[in-house]
Amino acid sequence: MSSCEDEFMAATFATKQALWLRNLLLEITPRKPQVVELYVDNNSAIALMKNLVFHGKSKHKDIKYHFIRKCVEAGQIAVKKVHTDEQKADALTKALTLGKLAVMRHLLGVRDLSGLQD
Amino acid sequence: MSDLGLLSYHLGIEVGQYKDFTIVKQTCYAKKILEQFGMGQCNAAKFPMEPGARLHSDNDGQPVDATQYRKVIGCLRYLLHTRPDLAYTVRVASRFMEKPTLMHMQAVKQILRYLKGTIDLRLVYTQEGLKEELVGYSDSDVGGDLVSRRSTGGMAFYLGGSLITWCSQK
Repeated sequence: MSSCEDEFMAATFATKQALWLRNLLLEITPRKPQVVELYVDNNSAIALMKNLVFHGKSKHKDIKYHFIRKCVEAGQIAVKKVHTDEQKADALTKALTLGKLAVMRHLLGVRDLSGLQD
Repeated sequence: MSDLGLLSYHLGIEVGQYKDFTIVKQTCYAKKILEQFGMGQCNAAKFPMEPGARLHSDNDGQPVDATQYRKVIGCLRYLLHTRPDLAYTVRVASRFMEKPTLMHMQAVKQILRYLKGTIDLRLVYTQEGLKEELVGYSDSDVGGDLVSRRSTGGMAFYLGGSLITWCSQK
């Protein structure tokens, strides 16, 4: 299994969640359908999600994982590249070093506001 | 039915609603966990898990009380509602609930020590992002699990700049 394939599968899982959230938001808020931006930090995985050229070499992947490409074509999802340093899902996949842990914690919205009057 | 005002406490989760932001925290619950497992006076740690530390099934290790181990994991999992930074580590530790050994227990104690040092952290929801758009991030770690060689996938969804959904999954 290559890292590209792996990112692809993780992104497929995220896509399912994205569609669910998108529909939920449509239901509970007065808004028009929007394109959900999905950030991935692997270029080859993004290329695979966007076009079919690669398909020959990655045919063995299960068909269900190509679900994401359909969603991209239908305009429900927009896949974008993000640098690893700004990858906000990083803290959810590995144990981070001290500096990075603090940054990622902040990006996730976990903050220390203990000075605040409760 | 009487109006009790804004939500402030629900199932162990404390909520603070202010003009510009809302906070969600479980500080009291975290303190309770630490007391319950005898870690109330422990020294704080900076990491929930050493970077690069790889837990394995440790077949030859000294077994520990599995019930106690599962109890800690169960408590920590509830804490994840407001602590996405712990999601990965707790998830890794919970893979060994069947036959926990001293090594796994030490990993859990490390999490508890980290919790002690970061007990005041909370999830903050601000109104920074005025554009209410849904943005997702997805990442994976190839073969992160030494036992099954499966990968860990993570995703986080933000609505208007605030985290609403996250997941760390093998």
